[in-house]
Amino acid sequence: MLIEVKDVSKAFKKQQVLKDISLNINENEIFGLIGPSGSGKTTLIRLIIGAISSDSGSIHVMDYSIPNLKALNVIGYMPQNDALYSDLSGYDNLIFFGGMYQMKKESLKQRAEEVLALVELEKDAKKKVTNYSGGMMKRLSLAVALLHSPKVLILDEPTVGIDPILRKKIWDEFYKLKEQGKTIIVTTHVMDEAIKCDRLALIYQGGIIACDTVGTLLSKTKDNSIEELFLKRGVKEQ
Amino acid sequence: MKTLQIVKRIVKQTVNDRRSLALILIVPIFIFTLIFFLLGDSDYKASIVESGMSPLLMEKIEAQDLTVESMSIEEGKQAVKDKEKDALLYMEGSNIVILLESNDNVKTGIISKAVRNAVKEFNPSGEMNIEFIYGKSGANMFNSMGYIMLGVISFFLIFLLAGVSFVRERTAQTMERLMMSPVKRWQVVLGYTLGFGVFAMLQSVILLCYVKWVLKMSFAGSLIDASVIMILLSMSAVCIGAFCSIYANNEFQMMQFVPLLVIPQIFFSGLISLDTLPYHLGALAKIMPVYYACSALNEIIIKGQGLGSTGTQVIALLTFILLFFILNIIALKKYRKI
Repeated sequence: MLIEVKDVSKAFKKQQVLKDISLNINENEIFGLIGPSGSGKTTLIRLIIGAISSDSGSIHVMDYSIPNLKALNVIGYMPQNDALYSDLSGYDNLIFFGGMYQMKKESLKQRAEEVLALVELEKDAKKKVTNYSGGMMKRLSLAVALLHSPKVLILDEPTVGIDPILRKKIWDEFYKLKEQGKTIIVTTHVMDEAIKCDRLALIYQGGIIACDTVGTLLSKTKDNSIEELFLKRGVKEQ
Repeated sequence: MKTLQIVKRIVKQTVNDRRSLALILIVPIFIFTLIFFLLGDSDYKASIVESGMSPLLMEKIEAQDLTVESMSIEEGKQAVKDKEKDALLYMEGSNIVILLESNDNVKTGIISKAVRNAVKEFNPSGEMNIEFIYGKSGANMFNSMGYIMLGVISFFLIFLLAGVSFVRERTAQTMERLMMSPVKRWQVVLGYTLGFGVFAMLQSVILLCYVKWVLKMSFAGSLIDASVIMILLSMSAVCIGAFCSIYANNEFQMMQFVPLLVIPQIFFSGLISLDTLPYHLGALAKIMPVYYACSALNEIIIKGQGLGSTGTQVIALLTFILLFFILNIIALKKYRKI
């Protein structure tokens, strides 16, 4: 087990966002967090990285008890927005973030070229990010997350607002990374994207309503759609 | 090392952003050129009327490039009132009275200087009263304006630049991403402070050199001492700007701090005498970095003192920097608990 989330609750002011969440994420899998917007996906991700601390419960990533500064060395994070410095070139963005992981100058340069090739941005590397298209920024953002070769990749809605062709490319990339032994956590609210994951956790109103492999989850539905699981739950609550 | 990377990035970013660069380097020079023409020594030829003054004295005054006419006191007063003439000179007992229409700094300066020069030769102990038809006699802002504007403008521009940059980092989520790397919070704050410090320093030195050598502002003290004060002030502007940005969700909300934090500092910078304020309002100056910087600049630029005599002000500015530096480190907890 690579990531263990145990009985975690989190409230902002008086609003309970997550209650008693428990999750185990294995090494070398693509794990999807799926749920409607406002269900608490991003909060859970921020808890796993250690951006915020939980009110109760514990989180472990590898051997680190979260929050832990050292754990950030093994995690690559891609926030929902592209989070890039628009006045810098794509290459300079990579060099800067690499510096934050204390990468050596020569290996950083080499690695920057590698990830740029991976997301097919070699030609535009010297352009300022202001001049990038939405898709290019998304790819550069992914490149930044991959830069320091983290063991765990945490991606918050990585394919939102991306055309189907690029989306497929990015998913092909995820499978490749998985083959290399990485663990990937992806949040999404797009159901047809969720079925590309190995395992899924369905988050609804701050709780996990189901967590299993995609196959098992689908077998519980009549019409082979994840949406059904949410709809059932919604009807029950009413 | 990581701090240095952040410094480098900020320098690169600002250089790539031409507008910001112009804001900190060219705008102050533009403003100072304007101030120079608005308040500086002009070639204005003042016209005065005299009544019952010694002709020898008037000759000396006329020799200083002023036009002089003789009239009765009543006629003279009317001429000044109608703005046909700039000033009326007459004797009141043994005192010379200079009567002007209202307190116009440039005209008051030119005329009183001319009269003072002339009187000096005849009667060094002679009294001279400056009176105005409208308004009271006030302190001459002519000399004080320059150094005050140095402090105010530098603080304002750097405050804005640092604050807006921080707000942008937040809205673009780059701050969040940065904090998700194993960088320490103090490294981030130090990197930012030094990064903008580079431009603060550049601005201070360029601006001081410009006013000293190009605009030829009278400069009694050393340029280096004045630079030190200016740099300390702009560093405090960086720290305070960054701190305010925590409470701003977008660039415009950053602008909303200007009337609250910058404009009051202009009033307390030395433009208005603080001793005369009611309800001990003058004490408010003690919490304003611009006040300390301007009074230190006054010591250096006007009185020609060294840094040694500005110890209190330097310590006060350092305290502001340190205080907001620490507050900023704490504020970053919003992004990461550790």
